[in-house]
Amino acid sequence: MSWREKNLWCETLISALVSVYFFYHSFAILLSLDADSAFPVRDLTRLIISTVILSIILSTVLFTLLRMLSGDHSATVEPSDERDRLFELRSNQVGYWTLCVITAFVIGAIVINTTSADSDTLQLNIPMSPLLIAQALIAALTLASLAKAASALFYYRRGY
Amino acid sequence: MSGTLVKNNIRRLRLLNDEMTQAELARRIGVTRQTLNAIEAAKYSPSLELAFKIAHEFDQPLDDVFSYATENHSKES
Repeated sequence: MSWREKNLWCETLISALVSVYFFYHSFAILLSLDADSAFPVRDLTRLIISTVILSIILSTVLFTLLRMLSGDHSATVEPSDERDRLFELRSNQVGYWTLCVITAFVIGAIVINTTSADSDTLQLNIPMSPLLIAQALIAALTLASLAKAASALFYYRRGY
Repeated sequence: MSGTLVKNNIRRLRLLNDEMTQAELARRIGVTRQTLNAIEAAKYSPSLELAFKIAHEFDQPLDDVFSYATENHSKES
């Protein structure tokens, strides 16, 4: 397995762990809300900050471990070739489409929520505050990053 | 679909050239060993530039290193 592929495994693992941490806690916060309760600005802000910190700590620990375990340090400066660039482009495309699809859903939810305030047939009943929208966009970015890393791994494992 | 229709003689040519390793050839043409392995196994088609580099390393014309195996050609041969 090349250094680049090991790097990708770390990246995927970090994305997966951070996603699980973030969504588990954000859903816990949102589901605990009553109809009359105020939006938990402080809890969500704290969650976003702790997710960023967790991501930095995990990256530092995992990449340091990887560097220590792969004894030959010359391998760490392995230049990328045309196949690496091809896989990067393909996985960027997967990440881009994932981001587009999730963002479209978020925009759709905002539009439906805004236009259906007086409608009896179509209502989401989700308090679309700016903070919730920001959280949804962070979720989109996280999932897109995960999709990008996972698809790159798929291409490396497949070989072409 | 698995792999490509671009077939090659890289493995044979390596063995004929003092049993050159994949790592050595990869270093000479400026790619990773994994990429050369994928090309050799006909899983990945190299760019024209890389194909010329490989042929140049063996001092062979491109046709002697790479061939395009269409279904019709495969049946004829």
